Amino acid sequence: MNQRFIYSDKADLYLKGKLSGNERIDFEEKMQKDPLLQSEIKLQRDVYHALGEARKAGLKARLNQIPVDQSPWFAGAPFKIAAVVSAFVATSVVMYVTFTPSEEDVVYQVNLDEQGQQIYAESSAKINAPKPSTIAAIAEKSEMAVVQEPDESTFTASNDPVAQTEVRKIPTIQRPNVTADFSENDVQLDYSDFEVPQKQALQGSASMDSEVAIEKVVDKAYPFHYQFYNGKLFLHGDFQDAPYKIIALNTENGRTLFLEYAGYYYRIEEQEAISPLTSITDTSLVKELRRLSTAQ
Amino acid sequence: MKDSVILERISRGDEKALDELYRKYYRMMTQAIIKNSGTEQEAKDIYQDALIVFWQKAVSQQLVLTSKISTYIYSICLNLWRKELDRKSRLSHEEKDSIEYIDNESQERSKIIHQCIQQLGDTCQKILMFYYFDDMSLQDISQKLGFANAETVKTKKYKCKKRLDNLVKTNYSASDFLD
Repeated sequence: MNQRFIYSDKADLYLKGKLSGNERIDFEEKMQKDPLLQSEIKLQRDVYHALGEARKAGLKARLNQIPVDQSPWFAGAPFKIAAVVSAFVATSVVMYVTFTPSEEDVVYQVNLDEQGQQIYAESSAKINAPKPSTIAAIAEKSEMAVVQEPDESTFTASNDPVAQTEVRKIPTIQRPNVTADFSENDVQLDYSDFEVPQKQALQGSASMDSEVAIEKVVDKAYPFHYQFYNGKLFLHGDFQDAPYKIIALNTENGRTLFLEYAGYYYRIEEQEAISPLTSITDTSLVKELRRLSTAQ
Repeated sequence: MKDSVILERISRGDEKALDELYRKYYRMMTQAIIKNSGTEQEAKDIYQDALIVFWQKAVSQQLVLTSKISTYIYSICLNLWRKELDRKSRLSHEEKDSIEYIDNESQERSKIIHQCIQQLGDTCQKILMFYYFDDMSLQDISQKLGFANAETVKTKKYKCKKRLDNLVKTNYSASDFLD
């Protein structure tokens, strides 16, 4: 058994690879000549290696004690947060699609502000507007379920989302308030406060009166006059240059005649005296007469 | 914790900094191995080996980082895993018997030395490991283990090493590894 032991700092430095080039060459030459040194270095190399392995094992044992997250990437906190958010969004979409009322179930609320402008908003707590087909069926059954007189300022039915309020000027028709259990006997029409706008009266009873007989009279004494005699209208003057037209309006107070000639309008009183034709200066009346004339 | 702080702490031999580093990049590094045909256990082993390489270089002041720590460790992981794959490939194709024979003798020697190391006291083991494996300076060892100075550590190291060598020689003679 060889108990000889060679120990030197130089051997340590050699095994650590910290000898310089020349020192290393000298040391290796010495090893070649000395088998005991060679055997010793071989032993020391094993010891170094074993010490290194022991140290590694110690470090690994330490690292193995450290709790680490070995779950896959999709189990990490960021993914969990993303998954929760995605689930919430998906649920919201499903809820929205499931519970959002369809267009048929849209409900309406009409508010008028002080300036007379219509403000419309849809609300689930207000009037239920039935399907158009339902309205037609009920109206057919009861002829008229609800009478709402249209006004000059008109109505707007909005299909915008609930709680959106906006001012609209586009006239449209308001849907009537009807219920599913509506019956014909329930209809009670109250026209006591009903007022027909003047425009409606004009529109409903105006006509081009071709029954009024007209005769033109060349009369230099009355160049632009008229006379109503024995149900016949006499026009004094030269009316050859432009066409003329008689417009008759039937109102509560009786018939009123107007003459349209050369773009002007003249009121014709049914009187026997020869009277001058005086053009109407009321612009609104002229405008309405012109509308009636072109509509006929 | 910034890379510079981690590196500074590790270069002083602060093993807690190594713990934090291990925890920080565990998933990233192991997933890289697993995606390259490695098992969970293989990935863990490779990552730990890579961290020890990093530790050894940092503590011995041999490391000059030119990239992020994660990039450096990642490259070590891939290199180690490539070597491991080569080794496994060779084992499946070459002369298994001779390799096993060599491994058996080497393993026997290693086992004897390991038993001898275990017979040393805890301080002796640490001094020798810090000096021979971590390549720490005597001054750093003295600070880490609370010795008065580097000279004290040098003396202690000499005695510990002499005792270990004697233990190994005795056990080697019994096993006929020495003439």
